[in-house]
Amino acid sequence: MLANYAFIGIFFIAALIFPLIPLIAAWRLRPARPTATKLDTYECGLEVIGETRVQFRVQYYLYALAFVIFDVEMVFLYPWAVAYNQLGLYGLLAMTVFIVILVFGLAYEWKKGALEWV
Amino acid sequence: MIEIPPIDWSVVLQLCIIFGGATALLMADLFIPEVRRRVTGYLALAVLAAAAIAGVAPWGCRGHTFSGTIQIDSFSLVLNWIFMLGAAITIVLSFDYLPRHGINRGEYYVMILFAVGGMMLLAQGADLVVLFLGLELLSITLYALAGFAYPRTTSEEAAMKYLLIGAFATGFLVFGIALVYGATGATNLAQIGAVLAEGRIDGENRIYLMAGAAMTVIGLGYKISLVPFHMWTPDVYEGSPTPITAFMSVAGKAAAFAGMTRFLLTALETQREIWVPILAALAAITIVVGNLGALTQQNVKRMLAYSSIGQAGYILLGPLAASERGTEAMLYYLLAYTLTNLAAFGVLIALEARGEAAWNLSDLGGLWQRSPGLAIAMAIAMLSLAGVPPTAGFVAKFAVFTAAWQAGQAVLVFIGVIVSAIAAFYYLRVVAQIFMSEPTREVEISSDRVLAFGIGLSVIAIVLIGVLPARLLNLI
Amino acid sequence: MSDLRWVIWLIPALPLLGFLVTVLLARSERAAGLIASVAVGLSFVATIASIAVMQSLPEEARRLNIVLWEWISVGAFRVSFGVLFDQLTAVMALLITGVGGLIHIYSIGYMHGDSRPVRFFAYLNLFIFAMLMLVMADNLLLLFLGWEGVGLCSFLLIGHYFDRRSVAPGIVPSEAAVKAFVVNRVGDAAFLLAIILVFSRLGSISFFPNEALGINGYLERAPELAFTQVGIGFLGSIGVITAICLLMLIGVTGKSAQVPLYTWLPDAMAGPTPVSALIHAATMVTAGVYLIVRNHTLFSASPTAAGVVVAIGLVTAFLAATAAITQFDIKRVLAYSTISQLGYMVTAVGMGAYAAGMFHLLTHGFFKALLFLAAGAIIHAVHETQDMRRMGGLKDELPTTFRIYAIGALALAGIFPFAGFWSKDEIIAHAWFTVQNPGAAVALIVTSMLTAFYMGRQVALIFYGKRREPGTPAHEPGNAMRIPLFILAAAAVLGGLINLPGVHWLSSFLEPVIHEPEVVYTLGMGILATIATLLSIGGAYLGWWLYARALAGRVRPGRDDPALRYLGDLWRGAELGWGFDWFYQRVIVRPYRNFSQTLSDVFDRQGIDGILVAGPGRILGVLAHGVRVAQSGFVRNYALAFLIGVVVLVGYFTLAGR
Repeated sequence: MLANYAFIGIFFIAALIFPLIPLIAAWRLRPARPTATKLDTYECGLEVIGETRVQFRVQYYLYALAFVIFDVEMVFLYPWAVAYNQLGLYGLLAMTVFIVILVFGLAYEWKKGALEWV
Repeated sequence: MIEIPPIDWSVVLQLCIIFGGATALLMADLFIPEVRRRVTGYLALAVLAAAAIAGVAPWGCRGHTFSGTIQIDSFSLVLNWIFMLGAAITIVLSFDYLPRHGINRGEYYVMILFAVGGMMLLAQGADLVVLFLGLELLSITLYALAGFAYPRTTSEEAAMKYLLIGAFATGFLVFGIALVYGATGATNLAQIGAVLAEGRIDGENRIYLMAGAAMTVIGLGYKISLVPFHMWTPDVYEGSPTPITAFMSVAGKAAAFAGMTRFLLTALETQREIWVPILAALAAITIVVGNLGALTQQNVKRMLAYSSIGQAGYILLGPLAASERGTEAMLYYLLAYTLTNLAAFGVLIALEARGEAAWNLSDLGGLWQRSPGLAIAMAIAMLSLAGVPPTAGFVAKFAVFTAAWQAGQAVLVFIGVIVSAIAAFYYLRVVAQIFMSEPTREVEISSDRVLAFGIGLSVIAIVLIGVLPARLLNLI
Repeated sequence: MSDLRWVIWLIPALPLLGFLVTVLLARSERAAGLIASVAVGLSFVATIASIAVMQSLPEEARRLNIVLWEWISVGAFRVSFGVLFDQLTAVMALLITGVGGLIHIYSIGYMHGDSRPVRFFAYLNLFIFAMLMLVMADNLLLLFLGWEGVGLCSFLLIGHYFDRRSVAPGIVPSEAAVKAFVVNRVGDAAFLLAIILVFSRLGSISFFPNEALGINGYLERAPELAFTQVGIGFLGSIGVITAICLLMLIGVTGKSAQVPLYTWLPDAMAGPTPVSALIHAATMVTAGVYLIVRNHTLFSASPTAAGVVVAIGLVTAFLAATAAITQFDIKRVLAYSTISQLGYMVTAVGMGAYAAGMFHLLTHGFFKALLFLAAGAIIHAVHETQDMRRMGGLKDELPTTFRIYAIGALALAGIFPFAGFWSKDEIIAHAWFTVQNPGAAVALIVTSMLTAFYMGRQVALIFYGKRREPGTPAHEPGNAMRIPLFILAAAAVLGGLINLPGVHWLSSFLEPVIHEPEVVYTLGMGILATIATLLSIGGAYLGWWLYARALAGRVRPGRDDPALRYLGDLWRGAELGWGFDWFYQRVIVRPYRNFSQTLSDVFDRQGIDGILVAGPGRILGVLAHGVRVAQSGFVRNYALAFLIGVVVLVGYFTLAGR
């Protein structure tokens, strides 16, 4: 039983190692001759002013949330669409309810002004 | 053609009404202007009433649907009614509170409905996944509601703390469910119970199962503020808007107890000798810590938070008895506690008429002279919490004590009785303050009729089910 | 007349109605007093009517049990909400409504000009109701309801004068009220355990079977279990009945102010004087005695428990009597005296002298109520002074009050032919002759001497000598106060008649309940009674002589008692009630408070970091309160505690479940 989980562990370790190998290889193999110009954030363009961390407007997050919701909707819709002809009327109704709920959510967001960029 | 298993809609009728009503209310609220926000509340009450009536027909039936993941029996019906009663009184108590605190937003009522839906899933769930779904739905709405007064930092702080600790607990719950599934190959409570009864779990699987069971208990124990998973309770209860504190402390707790009882008595029924001792010890510690903490509080809201920790310990005596009597006692206790705490918090809400905190013990000074009705309500609520007859609190305590005693938990009963004697001190201090001291500062008292109605209803019910509990206990 | 049984319900219903009407309708002092008094008066009439109804029934049916509804019914656990009326209840109900009614009338005069009269009379009526429920309950749970109810009313009434910061030096009414309730709750907790034990072992908590409902009675089953043992962990095992009785006894020590839980009663004197008379002398505090008599089948079945009852009664009677000698507060003397007399009753019922105990309960109800009410008249007369050092020489100013007080004092001291003599002597005779326990008898006689001594001292301090603090002249009480005093004085003189040796009305009336054999009187008893009385007279005279003559000149306001010089620490110890209060304060209250304070400091305000990292954690706690930002860091501590819990729980489950 525990052996079954071992595969997950092995997979996890492999997943860690795989990207690390080229990174380490590149770090060891490349020549390193830094100069002040090279270490600058941009070699061309404007001088950097202030912090690199900025506060994003809250609207970004609202958009992201709305996007994720519709993403999840796609995840549900795909398998339903594939098995559409086998699920029958019940499947159609269930999916309609699901979409109506989503529409309600969208309407709510819209009405509350979450989609406006201020 | 894929076979769709037949669905027995009568099992999920109440759930459908609540969720459908909540969704519809969310839409309807968009078109209700703020000055008429009470309409949203009345609509929410109507939804609750419809769902409550829908619970009458299936009374006495047992059934399950959605592949045995959701079930209905008298246990869940009674609990559903308790949740709806708690929610309805909370809504009634909020009508006056919200505009005075400048948070008159319609989502409030909608989220209470969704929370009730989550609670119902906990009561009706026959599957660990459904229990998890219910608990999360309940928790997420409560996080939002705790922070509902969001320009106020205390409210935000409460929500933040609740969320952080809640997320922590949820992690354990999911992990626990996964481990239980890994060990038994089932998430259905009855199936887990059957697998355990056959006794073919051993070796490593046994360890996984036990660790999983422990973590599931932790995930639910956090919600009933079982020591040591209780630390969030005083802060969150103090910071949240007062009606929400009331709602969390009664309905939220009742729901978690529902899930806990289902899990312990259905899935882990055969492992009684393992979980009874440790939970009995935790119940004793919870009773002691909660009541000790309440002792030195000068802030009544915080005192009630600690008191709710202590009360949770007493309620846990019911499931610990692992008998029909114990479950009945727990249900009765939950009902009594719901009414009592709502009345007590209702009085605090009335004192917050000016939109600022008036929770100090001294703010209650001379309440009798200023508002006899509120004074009597608070006194009865305190006596009920202290377990003085003929209030509901006494019958409840007596019921859990006798149930636990018959289950052989004599030591636990002993501790419980002694501590409840000492706990009378801080409850009585409130009564003494109300009747035996002069007001220290002018605290404006709300004269809202709906609020008074809500408090009055709770108080009358406390006395009524304390004097006439026989019929009710038989019903359960 | 059997169809008149419903009249029994009126007994508790009328005071309850009176309470409701007073609360809802009464606006003036006069109305409140009138409604409340009438309600109790009618209840008294109903009691007499009920007795008539009962006596008209055939002898074997003289136990009326009327069930109003089924209170709790879960499986085998069935409790009725019903009243029981038998001879024992009748006696108690007569005392409660009779003396209670008189005290109501007295209160009309006494509370005149009070700032909260409506509240006062409403509570008083509620108390009468609760007390009647206590004695009329047909099962333990309903009795417990009354038991808690009287405690609650006592709590509410002790705190009546909350706006007078302290009534007697060092006592704050609201604190005294909370103390009384909490100390009582400790006893109640044990009582509740006793009820649970009764149910789990005897199968019912109703006293007597009720055929109509099919409920069993537990009293008749007690002898069956006389030799059954129950394990109590590593301490071995104990008889079931003994365990039940001992738990009940703890409840009794709370309610009836016995050692070690008596400390609340002296402080309870912060309440108005009629309350002291009604609740803390005549009725509520006798509930414990009633409980033992009601459950006498249990106590007879357990000699061990009965022995403990006797021991507690004797110790209480003696210690409280010594404490009473040293007090200067007029009401505190009477309070300690009440404790001592309750010790008498408890001793009596512990020895099996149930009729004698009830007899003393009755006579004590008369003369102690009389003494308290007369003390109230004195306190009023000398303008709310309770300190006896500031009185003196009131004999000539208050001649009527003096005579009444003297009657009460003589009755309490047990001087022939006053009521106290008969009841006290019965107990002493029972100790010496029936149970053959000369030690107990001697202790009782000594206590009786001490009683006489402190009453002599009190009378001397109040009424003899010169007024030690000259002030405005004292005045006699008005009619509303005077008439109840006269009636009670008559009862204190003639109360002995109800159970005179040879006549034994009370004993034969109670016989169906307590099944006590008839006492046979001998010459020895007469001699013992004579000796006891002579000693009492000697004690009283000594007390009077010392404080009216020998030491009278050395009693001054604000100064210690002259006897302190001769007795020193012994006197000081008695004055403090032998340090029980001090002990509780040091050993229980303070550590408990500190512990919970620490707990709330550690877990509530500072977090564990505060203790571990910063030495002066308190400062951190204060800072944390000020700085909201810092608060979020504390979630870490919550999570830490959470994690500890997880480790413990998961560890336990996996190890235990392996």
